[in-house]
Amino acid sequence: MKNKSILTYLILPVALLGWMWISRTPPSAIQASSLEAPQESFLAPDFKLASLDNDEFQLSEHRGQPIILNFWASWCPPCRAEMPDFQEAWLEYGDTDLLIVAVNATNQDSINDILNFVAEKNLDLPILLDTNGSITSSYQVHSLPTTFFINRSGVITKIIIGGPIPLSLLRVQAEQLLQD
Amino acid sequence: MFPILNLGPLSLPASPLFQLIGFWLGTSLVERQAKKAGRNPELLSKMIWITIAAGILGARLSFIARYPSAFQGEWTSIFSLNLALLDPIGGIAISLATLYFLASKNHLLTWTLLDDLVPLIAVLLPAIYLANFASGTGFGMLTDLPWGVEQWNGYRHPVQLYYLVSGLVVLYLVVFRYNPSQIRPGLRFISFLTYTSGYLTFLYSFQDPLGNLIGGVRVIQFMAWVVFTACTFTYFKLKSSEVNDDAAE
Repeated sequence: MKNKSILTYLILPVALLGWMWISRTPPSAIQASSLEAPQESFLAPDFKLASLDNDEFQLSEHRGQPIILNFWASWCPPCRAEMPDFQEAWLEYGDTDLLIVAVNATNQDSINDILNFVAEKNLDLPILLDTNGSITSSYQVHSLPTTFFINRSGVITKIIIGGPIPLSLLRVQAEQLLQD
Repeated sequence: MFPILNLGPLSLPASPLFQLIGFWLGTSLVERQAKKAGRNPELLSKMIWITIAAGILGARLSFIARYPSAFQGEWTSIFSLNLALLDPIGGIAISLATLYFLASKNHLLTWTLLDDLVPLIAVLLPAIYLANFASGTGFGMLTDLPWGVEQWNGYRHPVQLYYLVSGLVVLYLVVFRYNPSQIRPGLRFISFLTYTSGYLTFLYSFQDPLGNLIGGVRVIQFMAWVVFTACTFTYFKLKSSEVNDDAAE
């Protein structure tokens, strides 16, 4: 009787072990890192934007470099609070190939306010202008600031929604991206 | 996907909202069922809140301990409200240690305590699955099946909904059909773990494992299977000792 009960309790673990074996997946079937989507483990959607200095920036041209991509606006208090830390990280990691890019949601902002803020905080990291909001929209940024951490393969490794992000956290993420 | 809920003039982030509601419903249910079973709901509630607070504090301390050099010249960021400065594994370890300490201090180190805490996790898990569906995290594998949902550039198994339905069935079985006078202490907790790890082992095959594979086998699925197997044998032992006790009586 007891043996029969033991067998009953053995059936399910064995059946699930079989299921695990049948449903195992070859690594080639994991497609997330070959598709573009604004989600962790996916390729960061490509875009082309003009910077505040009128230079053109295309994300895919920087494949091979780790990138921190921050979406911000000058009227947003946490964006204003964290931007000096992004600038500090930009200087600290200046001798590495880490790229820090700040995409301004310009359709919700004004050029004058952006210029005043940049001058006030002495920012010299690349600032891109999303004038029609299409990139903010394609990255599904629902609240500002939002920051995407992108590895050398162009894959998003982390998304932080909200802020301010302190310098310590930027350092941790930057080190992880550089070691990736 | 519905990452933002628009309620009149309010735009609320759906994912944290569902998790907060789940936590609140879970703690309320723990208190209600503890009261019904003749236990001290205030003490249980206090233990839950202290455990949560210790977990958050522990997660921050663990993060600092892992990356001390990142805080050089930046010590004020120790108090940052940013949740990304938390180490979840350290937080869970410290909250479990706190719960153990509180339980032994209050002479509650028994199976009954674990049984009493089941409603919290049983409600919280479906809330987390719904939150994941809202935000699109923990997404499924690509599929051609007619019920596939469009997520992240493709039609995918709505695996978060598979988990949600399973979690709700388990909630019904271990919380709403539970009668403490009818089953042996510990069986509720072990049943919950067995059901949960069982459906996770089965359904994880439909989730995108994001490369966490060993020989094609999903690592998390294997861990769930180990828990399931251990719980099945513990369930068997508890059940058979229940039968022996009944026979002795």
